[in-house]
Amino acid sequence: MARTRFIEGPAGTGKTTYAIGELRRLLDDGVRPEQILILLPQRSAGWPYEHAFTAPDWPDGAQIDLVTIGGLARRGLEIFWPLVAEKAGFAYPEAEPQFLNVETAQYYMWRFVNEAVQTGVFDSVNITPFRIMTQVLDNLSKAAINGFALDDVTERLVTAWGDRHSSRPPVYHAAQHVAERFRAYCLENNLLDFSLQIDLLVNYLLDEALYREFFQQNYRHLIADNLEEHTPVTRDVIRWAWDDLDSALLLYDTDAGYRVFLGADPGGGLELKARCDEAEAWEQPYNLPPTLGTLAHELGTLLDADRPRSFPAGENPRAGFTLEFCQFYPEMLEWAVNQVAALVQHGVPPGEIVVLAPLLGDSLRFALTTRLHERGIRTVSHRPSRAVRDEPAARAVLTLMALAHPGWNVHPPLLDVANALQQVIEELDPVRAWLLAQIVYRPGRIELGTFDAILLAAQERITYRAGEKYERLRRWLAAYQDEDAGTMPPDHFLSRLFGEVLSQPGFGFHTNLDAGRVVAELVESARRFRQTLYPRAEDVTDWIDISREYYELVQAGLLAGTYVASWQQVEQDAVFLAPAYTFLMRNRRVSYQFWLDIGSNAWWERLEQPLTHPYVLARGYPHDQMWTDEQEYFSRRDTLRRLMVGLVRRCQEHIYIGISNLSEQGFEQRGPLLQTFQQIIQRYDQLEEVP
Amino acid sequence: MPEAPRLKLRREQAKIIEGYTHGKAGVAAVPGSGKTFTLAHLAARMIADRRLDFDRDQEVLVVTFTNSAVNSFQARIARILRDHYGLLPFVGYRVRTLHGLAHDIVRERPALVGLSDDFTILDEKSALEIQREIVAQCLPGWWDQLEGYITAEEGTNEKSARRAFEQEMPELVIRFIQRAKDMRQSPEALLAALEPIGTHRFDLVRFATQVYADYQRSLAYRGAVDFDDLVRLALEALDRDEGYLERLRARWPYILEDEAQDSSRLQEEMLTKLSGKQNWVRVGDPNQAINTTFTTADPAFLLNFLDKRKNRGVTEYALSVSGRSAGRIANLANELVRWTVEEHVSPDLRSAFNLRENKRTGVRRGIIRLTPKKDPQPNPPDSACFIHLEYQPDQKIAPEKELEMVAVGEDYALLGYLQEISALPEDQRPTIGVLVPENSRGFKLVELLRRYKIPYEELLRSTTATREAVTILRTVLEYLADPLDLKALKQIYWTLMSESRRALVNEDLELRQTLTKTFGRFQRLEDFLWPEADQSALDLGEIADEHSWLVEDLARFRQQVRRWLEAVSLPIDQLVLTIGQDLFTDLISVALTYKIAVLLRGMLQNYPDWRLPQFVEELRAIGSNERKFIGFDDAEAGYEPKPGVVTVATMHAAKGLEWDRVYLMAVSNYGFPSALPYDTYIGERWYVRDGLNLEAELVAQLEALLQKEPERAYVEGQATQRARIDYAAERLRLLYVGITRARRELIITWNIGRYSRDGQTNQPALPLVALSEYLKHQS
Repeated sequence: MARTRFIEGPAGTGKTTYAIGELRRLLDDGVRPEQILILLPQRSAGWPYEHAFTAPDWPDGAQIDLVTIGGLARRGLEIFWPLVAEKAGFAYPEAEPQFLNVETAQYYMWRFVNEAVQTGVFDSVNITPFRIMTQVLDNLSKAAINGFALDDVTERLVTAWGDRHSSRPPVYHAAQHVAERFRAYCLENNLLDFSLQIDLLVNYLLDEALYREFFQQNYRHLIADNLEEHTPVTRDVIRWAWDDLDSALLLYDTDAGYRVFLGADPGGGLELKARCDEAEAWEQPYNLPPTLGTLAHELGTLLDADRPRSFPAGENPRAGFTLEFCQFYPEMLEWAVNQVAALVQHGVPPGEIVVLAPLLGDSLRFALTTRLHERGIRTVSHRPSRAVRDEPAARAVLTLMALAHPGWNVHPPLLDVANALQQVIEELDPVRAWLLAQIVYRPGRIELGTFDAILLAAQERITYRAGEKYERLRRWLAAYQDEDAGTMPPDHFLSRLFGEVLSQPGFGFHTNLDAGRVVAELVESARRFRQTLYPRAEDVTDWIDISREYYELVQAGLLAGTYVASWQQVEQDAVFLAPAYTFLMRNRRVSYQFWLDIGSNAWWERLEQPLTHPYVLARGYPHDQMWTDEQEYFSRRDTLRRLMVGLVRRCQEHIYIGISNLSEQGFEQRGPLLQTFQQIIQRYDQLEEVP
Repeated sequence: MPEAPRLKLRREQAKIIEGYTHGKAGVAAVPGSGKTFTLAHLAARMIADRRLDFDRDQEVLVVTFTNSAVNSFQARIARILRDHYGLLPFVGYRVRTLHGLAHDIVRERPALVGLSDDFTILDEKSALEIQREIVAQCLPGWWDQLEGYITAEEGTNEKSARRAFEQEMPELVIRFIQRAKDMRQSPEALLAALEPIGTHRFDLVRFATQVYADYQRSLAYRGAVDFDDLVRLALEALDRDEGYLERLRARWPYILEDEAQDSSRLQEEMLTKLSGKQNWVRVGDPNQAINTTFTTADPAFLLNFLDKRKNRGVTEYALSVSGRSAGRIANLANELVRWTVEEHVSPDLRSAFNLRENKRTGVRRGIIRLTPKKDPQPNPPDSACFIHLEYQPDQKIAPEKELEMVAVGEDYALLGYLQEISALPEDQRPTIGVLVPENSRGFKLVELLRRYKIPYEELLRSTTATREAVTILRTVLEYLADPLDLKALKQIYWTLMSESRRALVNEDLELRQTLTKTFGRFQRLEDFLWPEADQSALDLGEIADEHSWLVEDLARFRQQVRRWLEAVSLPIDQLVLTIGQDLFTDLISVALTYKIAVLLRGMLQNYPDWRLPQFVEELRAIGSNERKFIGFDDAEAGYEPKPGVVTVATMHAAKGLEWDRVYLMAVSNYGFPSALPYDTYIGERWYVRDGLNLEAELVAQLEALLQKEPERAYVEGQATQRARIDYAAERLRLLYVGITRARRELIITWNIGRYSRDGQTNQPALPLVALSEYLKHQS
């Protein structure tokens, strides 16, 4: 068998399954698991591998690391920091570096952005300082993953902007200035944000003979899955390692490239094909009904201006999907829920159903979840558009945190306390929680009242079972105040509150896995905050003010802003509710898909930001070219095409498509996908009429 | 191509619908001639004729003036496509207001104009709050420069004059900012223009510009824009990216503009750009231009468009036949136009109306022509027509007296009339509208109607439909803010009950008692909402046998309330949307719920500590009419007058509607001045020196700034004079709108007003006198 192989093909052709088979073969041939490097564009793409590792016949103990480029950089730097620190210009090469995550990087960046905003340099753009901050960080990352200097980023943005208006170039320069100040601060203080980690890996570590030796000894075999979603710098690393590898298997999804906004470089990934000893193109997806095959073809054709519009030889796609036209949004939701219920009733496992929307807001998620639960159908949802701190579970825990620290003089409103109690005590419904909160909580009072002191009639109403749980919670908080308050860092507080009380039987988070994940994220954010800002715990004499700082940063939106990580979710036999892209990146196929609201423009709108640009800040984009509206339009069409084709190919039975003429907001919807389906209907209805 | 069924079209309508294929075309129509009908049919025909390329996502773009007009226009096109052409109803066109269109344009390419994809549009109330705050902060520092505007007249209380000035300043600055944005002037540009000007004559605009600059910075910091920015930014996007403009031109190869008399400078600019001066049809009635005061809306845009000397290649079509009013009422409206154009004592006002007829070119504007025989919608016969103008020389009608005359007087009052028509079957009773110039007058009338139990609906500041939906949402939120409040829960149940059920309960004493008792059993509300497993909460005993629906109804209600209670931890906007999703399916309420959600979310951003009780208060203010619910307008096309029920509306809100019998109230020289020395003007405040209209002067200073020599361009007082003429002209057109709302019967009254100035009370409006003379002459 060839040493290096490249397999390309659309989703569902069995590439990852093949890779898992290869992995197994390597292990059976006696390769040590730690010698195999599986490179993934993001952790959630590793789901099929993790799933395979849990199979009963998988070799014992053969846990193989799934690594992203960020992870690889960090590992290298943890070991070889002394080799590169001085060369890279860090002020204290002899001292340990601090690895920053998104949140802690934001924390440091925040001050530079704010200072710049105060001077008025960003006045000509209407974006919040928070968004300015995220875009500057984004530019830093884009520079790193493409191997650009910061100057290049600005130059590219200015050129792409062209002569549209003189107010914009100074803003790009201002953003660069902020980025430079942040970078200088990191160098002075041994801080490593994502961009510096990548930068150090590519520009320093790869040049070190010791690192090469280390790499050669450790990694003999490479599997790079979803190559089209990787960044240019990952490709550089693969090239760098290439000749030393015993084997390499590169997998490329021809119709994907969903992470372009995050720096993916599908075109560049394809270039690696030429380096491989053997290249194969797989065409036929497994289990894709012919009707859906035609639908994928149609969508691919209609959304691609370059492809000729001819009827494929396949089956009429109309049988592959159901289109439901509703006037109102809630009407569409009701329809979708009824269809899901009917499928489940006919024996379809809920885990084989996904309900997808372009965006999944709180209200939509809530409406779907409650409606499905009413019919006894379980759901699981992952929505990256909501920050951890905005999750009701996180808000409940934060309210309890405030209650545990009366000295802060933060007095949560009664409604928040009632909400918190309702969430954390299993037996409490909203009415009883309100009743309890009203009796035991007075804003400004030092501690919560005891259940025993409540009138018997009220105790009975609240129920003794709930009362007992409340007492446990109250006593825990009181004991913390009395004994532990000054000595416990915020993450310890959160973690113990969860572990000792909230996750126990009878408490709301005992069976609520979603809530458990949310709290885990919150704990993690507190831990990173502490480790980054106060790494020397022995220097801290009193944690109360530090905990308060954490609490306030969360409230201000600077911390706990990340999302509950999807790959950590336990797969359940539940209907999966998600934004369409999230489903795609989970790399799995299901029997039934529901697409909601295809009239919405959100299906094709990209996240457009004035200070950055995913296409212009890509290695393959000519540095001296203006970005035109035509390019914008076609890139959107192309993205939409990839999305739709990707979705269809991940469906094994049938697609249910809901259209709501009026959006949630009451506005008529005229998104491009609607027109595309109109065309498909017209084409195939005509076909049926002509025998 | 699908063959359209034969429509019953008037000749003029057919000429447009069947005759127009491309190019620039315009219509100066008369009231009731079917402008929207014609335009909707034209749009549908273009789609049915396959003049659009669906492969290129092409659409007919229809632009109209209000949100409600958008809704009805859309419904109309959809109906025509489905019923007449058998096509899918929702593809091939897009109906938008100017702001809606601007939103589409900005939304698609936000970064072009410096916005993130998640930019927020500040609701108008939040925008006002911010502006108010900035004015309050700045004003003390500017007082020395501005106090010169306060009147020094003898007898004026200096303190109260200053207080009044300070109180009204925010409103003034708000209008200034709107105007500056209309003119696409940034604060930086204005500050630069002010730089070389040394005199204090421009201090007012200098102050306003300073507030404008601070306001814009505060918007930028929030990542927000206001409604006025939206249009400005959309134009900027089109200016900045030629390719984007080209793409939109290709997407909308035909542009149809309704209500073109209300076209503004920005709308003109936007549609000129988007149409590429190619296929653009503009329809309006210049004589119904009633939104011109202190905006840049101007019927001149339509008229210039129609002027072949200024706009070569335009085709003018006529829509001059109207079957709405009886001949005598149409003639009265025509007389108002003729008298104004030919005889008005203030020559400046003679151009208030557009009146032209040229048989050779076929141009017919400003004269309502009656329908020919066999017309599908003929004019009501004169035999059924009744006109009464309450005017006699030296007559003095006190304001209260006028209200009484209309409500319960002897000759033509509502009370007697309703008794008269009560014998008719309900659906055959005439529709009745009472139209007032200002809200305050309407509120007074409503009080009286309520006292006399006269059935009415009002379309005053926020409409009845708006208030109903707001009330429902508020009732629900009020309960959610205190889930132990049984009374509040009962209130929701009652509010949500269908009208028929409510009538049933009202009529059936036993059922009413049963319901009270049923709820009475749930003093412990948790027993109803979340009963313990061993409790059978909805065991209603015998009642259930008799009213089987009740058990089901209560069970459904319980389920809904539980869902809402569980949603309380959602952010307020999403909570409102969730409730709205459960409760409303009608277009207006769905849109309204969203507006409320956005409004409350805006509040939450500004006041992060707010919880449900504060939001309930906010909704109460909207619902009880204390504050106009800006940004949502369902007053016009969405409203259908009910037979036998009195509609109370302002004349502005009545546009687009019609009633069998119409009362026009308070037609005095206060509401309808004629630019005569004894007239008074709302814009001229008592505390300002020399009778200056500060708003007009401020705008004049702004306009002067854009001239080469600003100091010569601005002459104090001229703008005040010009504003008088403009205002008087617009009010004449408002009167015309009022008259043309009437199908069969028209009654016009006036009053002397509450306050006299220098011993002068209000006079009957000059046109009222003229029309009275005309009628006398006719008879």
